[in-house]
Amino acid sequence: MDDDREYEALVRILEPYRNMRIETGPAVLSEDYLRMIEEVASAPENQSGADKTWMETAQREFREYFARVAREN
Amino acid sequence: MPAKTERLEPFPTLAGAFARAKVRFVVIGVSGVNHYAQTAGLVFATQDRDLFLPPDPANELRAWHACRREGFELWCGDEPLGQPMDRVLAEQVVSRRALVRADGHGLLVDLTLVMAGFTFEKVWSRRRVFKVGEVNVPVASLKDIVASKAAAGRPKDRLFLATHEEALRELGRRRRGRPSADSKEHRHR
Repeated sequence: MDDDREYEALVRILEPYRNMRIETGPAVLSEDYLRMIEEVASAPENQSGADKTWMETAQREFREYFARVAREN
Repeated sequence: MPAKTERLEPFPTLAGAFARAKVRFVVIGVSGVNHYAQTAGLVFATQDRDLFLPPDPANELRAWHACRREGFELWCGDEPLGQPMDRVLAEQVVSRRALVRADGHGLLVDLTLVMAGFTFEKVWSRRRVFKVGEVNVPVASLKDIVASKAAAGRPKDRLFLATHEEALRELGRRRRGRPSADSKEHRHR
């Protein structure tokens, strides 16, 4: 497939997304969402002093994974 | 005793340098939310770290020097941060509430002086301090981060809020031992 046809195919695929109306401006959080946030924030593993080293390692693994995918494609 | 990172991660290293230089900051944004993730499945992939700093030129200047010492390049807008990197420049950046970005070791760290709907002191007073390796990392409260994203209301904030809400709902379903919306779909196929 040459560049023009590839570009046209891409425009066709993206057309529905170009017409999407994306809302902006302050969002209202539902009561349910706020309750879940409260629940997560009050969990013992989310108090000051908790060890979050695993999260940093997970982030690095994500970065490495996506870098590999980008290189391979 | 907190676990040691298997190898030195760039962000905890920078956070340690900030602590030694007495830089006041809190982690906000998606990377802040990630500190509250209860499973790896709830960690949002991001290459950025958003750090909220107080509007204090001396603090800002200490942060810049610490970044440079740790091998990060500093940018303001599309240009390298001006020289000399001194108090005058820090005062200009703070008065304009300009964003300075530190780039290095595969990581982008935004030093922001603005958090929609919040002052630094308010966020600081409600922060949590988590251990990452042997470093203490101050993180804004989950409620403040989410409320700020709702106040900013940019498309990317709205997308994040919808995804985060659904992720928490899914976690709740799993904990109650109920099948998820996805697994129901699979069963009906």
